[in-house]
Formats: sequence, C-alpha cells, structure tokens
Amino acid sequence: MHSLSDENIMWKVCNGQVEQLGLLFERYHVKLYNFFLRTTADKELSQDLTQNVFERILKYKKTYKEGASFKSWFYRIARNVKIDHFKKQKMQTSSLDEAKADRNPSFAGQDGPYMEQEERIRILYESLNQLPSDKREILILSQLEEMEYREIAKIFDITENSARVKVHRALKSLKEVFHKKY
Amino acid sequence: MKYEDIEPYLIDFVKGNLDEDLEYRIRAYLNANPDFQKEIDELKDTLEFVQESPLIEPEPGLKMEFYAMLNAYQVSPPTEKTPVWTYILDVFQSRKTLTWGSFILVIFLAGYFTSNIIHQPGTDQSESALSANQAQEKPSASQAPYSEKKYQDQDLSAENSADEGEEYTLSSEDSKEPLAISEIEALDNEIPASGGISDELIAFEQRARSGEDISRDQLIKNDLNSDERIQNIYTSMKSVNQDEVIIQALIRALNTDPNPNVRIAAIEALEKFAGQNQVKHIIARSLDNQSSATVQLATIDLIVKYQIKEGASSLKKLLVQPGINQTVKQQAEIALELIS
Repeated sequence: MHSLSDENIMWKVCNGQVEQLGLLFERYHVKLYNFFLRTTADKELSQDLTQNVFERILKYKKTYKEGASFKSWFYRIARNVKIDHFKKQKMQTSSLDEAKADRNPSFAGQDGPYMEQEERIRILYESLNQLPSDKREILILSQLEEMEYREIAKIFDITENSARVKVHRALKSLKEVFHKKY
Repeated sequence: MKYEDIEPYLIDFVKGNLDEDLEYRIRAYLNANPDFQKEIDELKDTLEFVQESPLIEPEPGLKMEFYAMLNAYQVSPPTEKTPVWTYILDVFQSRKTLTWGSFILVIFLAGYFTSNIIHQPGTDQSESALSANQAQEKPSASQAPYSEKKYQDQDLSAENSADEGEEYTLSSEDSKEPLAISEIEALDNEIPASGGISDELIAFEQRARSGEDISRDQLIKNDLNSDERIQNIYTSMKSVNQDEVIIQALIRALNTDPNPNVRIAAIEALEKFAGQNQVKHIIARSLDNQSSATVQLATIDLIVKYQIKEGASSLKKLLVQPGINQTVKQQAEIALELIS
C-alpha cells in the first residue's frame, strides 16, 4: 500500500525534510486519536494529545535511530505524552472513573443505523475505563491498533512472551468487567 | 503441559494464528482439561467484541492544527544557540583576562541601557513618522485596482521571503510554481468542461477563481502570512453562516495559494461543503492544478470519500504525469477503482 516505509519517512524527517511528517500524520493520526480516546474517554483531550505527539516528534526527531521501529518509538512518545499530561494535571488514573460521565464520548439522543455501533463503542469505553492504565493501553495497542507483540514488548520494555501474557490477562480482566456490568 | 506454558499463545489460538505444533499442544491441554473450553469461548467473545469496534474520526480541526504547526515549524525552526553567558563565563574563567572582561562587560551593559533609553516608545518619532509617510504614499493592496494589485502581490511575495521558504515539496514536481489566476483561466480554456456542467456552475467557478466577489470576508488575503491564512480558513470552518463568499474564497485558496499548507487547509475546510454538486465539481477539477503531493493526496481522499465520479478524468490525467509521486500514484489508482 505505502511505497515508503514509516521508518524511511521518519529518517527523512530526522534529516531535515520535516514536511514528510505530513505523510506520517496522514497514516497515523486517526489511530493515535483513537488510542487516546480509548484510554482517556475524552474527545477534546484526545485531540490535544494527538497534536502534542506530533509536536514532540518534531522536537525530538533527532532521538529517532535509523532502522528502529517507527511504530514502537511513536507509541512510546504517545504514552509519555499521556503520562506527562496526567502528571501535569495531577490526575490519578482512577479519577477517570469519576469523570467518565462527562468525558465519555456521548452518542445519546441519536437515532439511526449507527446507534447499535455507537452503543457498542460506549460499552467498550466504559469497560476499558474500569481497567488499570497499563492493561488498558496494552489491550488497545494489541487488539485495536493491531500491533505485533514484539512492538508492544519494545514500548513497554518487556519480553515478547511477557507481552503475550499481559495482553491475555488484560483481555480476561476486560471480560470480567464486562460481565459484571452488562 | 502447564497452563503457564500455553497462556502466551491463547489469543493466537483463538484467532487461528498458531503453527501446527503449538495448536496441537493447546488442543491436547484442552482435551485433558475440558473446563478450559469455557475460558476459550469467553476469550473468543471478548475478542470479537473488542475488534468489531470501529475507529472514530477526529474533528477536522486536528488536521488544521497539525498543518499549521508544521507550517510554523518550517517557517521558523528552533535553532540551537550557544548561550552568550557561556562565552562571558569562559572569559572570566581566565584570571589574566578578568580585568579586561569586567571592563568589556561594563561597556556592554552601559551601551545596552543607553540604547534602551534612546529607543523608548515615544522617543523615536522620526522613525514612526517616516513609516506613516511611507504608508500614505503606498496605497494598500485592497485599494488598488486589479491590474496594480497583481504587481503589488509580486512585491509582497518578494518581501516575504519566509513564505517562499515554507513551500515544501514531496517530489521534484512540487518545485513547480503554483499557477497564477490567469494561467488557471487559460488552462480552463484549453480543457473543456466535462459534459453536463451548467453555465451557472462555470460562472460560479470563475467567480471563485477570480475572487471578484470576495469583498466582505477577505478570507485569504495575500498580504497575510501563511499562518494567518491557515488560521482564517480554520475560523471559517467554525462559522455558522457559511455562504458562497466563503466557498469562493476557499476555492481561490485551493487553486491559487502559493503555500501547499494553505491549500491543504482550504481543501479540509471545503469538505464541509462537499455535499454541494458545484463544490464536488471544483474539488475534482482542482486536482489538475495541484503540484504538491500532499495536496494531491488530500484531494484524492475527498474524491473517494464523496464518491466524486467526475474526478476520474483528473485522476487519469494525474496518473500519466511525469515524475508523479509514488504514493500519490498508488492512491490515485485505488481511488479510480473505488469511484468507478
């Protein structure tokens, strides 16, 4: 599909062709936005964090090493941006539960063919928000972002086998939350 | 075999992604532990539930903000400068030069403060008076007749060298200068409009390109820098009273703005009106004028998203362009399939 790999494009950005970041933005901004949306359940915040990630890429482009997996590096930055944001706001992960009523993407009051789909999203978000941050992130990256275990292992600085186990346990936790609530 | 040994592979087992050996080992465990089937079934249900959840599109403002940020970075990238203090400290580290260093510092500080006193607001009347005179002598761009304005625009572009520098490229084709209004009109004469286009539509397009109706909004004024032009477009997206003036200004920006970031912003904003047939037509036609790969990609996206079938001829033209960017080529081919 893509003639240039993410790594090649990022390397060009590193070497001063910053306009190439537009291509990476086009490839990843929807996924990244959904990564934040699913981990924070806040549309506005997710937009801001997505923008922050690309700003940080520009700022720290020199830290990207040639040939390194772009996806892993990219989502590491994304995690750091999110962690920094909540540190700055002095918000605990658990407070997401308290605020979820306000920040949950709301589709209430809408009719039509998308209603069932939107209800599904709402249930998923509410269930995800019951999980600890680490489990939520690893689940989103593996199942929703379809990231490979070796890439997840790099992001979380763990072994590939450990990544597999963590994804499985996160999925089990989600199932338990889901069954409790619905 | 223990549960711990098969646990890392259970998700791939459910998805059917395992090699024969691992799958056999898990099935063997399942045979020895029939209760385990329940866990597998639940895992399967949960996976299906998670994976069937669709992605949500972010607000268009995200793209706008990104390209504005990228544009600002290109115009004035941060520079890594060595602080002046390090030089001063270097000087003072040497005892021999301490006296000279102190002397130079005193002179420097004295000069700095004297300069500040002289240049305080209100004291530099001669300079501000000169600027006012110059302003009076030089008519503004908006006051000038069209023929004069053309030359003024050239002056402005020459003065604003930063804007020239921010023109970015993805391929050698992108270094082409964007078409001037007259060139686009000439191009329009060469390429006959596709069948079924009404006179009204042609008139609308011509008005949009000439900008003759744009007096109230002045959305994309040429004397603004590209950041301000992008910001104006972004503001127009939030406007409640969208009307033809805004559409025309956006189309004009899309077809004539020298900065590709502005053109991308314009096409993003135009998406709001893409339900209108005349806007669809103009989006399709604009592909003929675009030389920036990024703008071409954004236009192709809209052609596919809104199933603009008349975009097929522009896509075909694009595909035979020499030096076409490979990503653009692939997307154009896919788009052709998707709209036909």
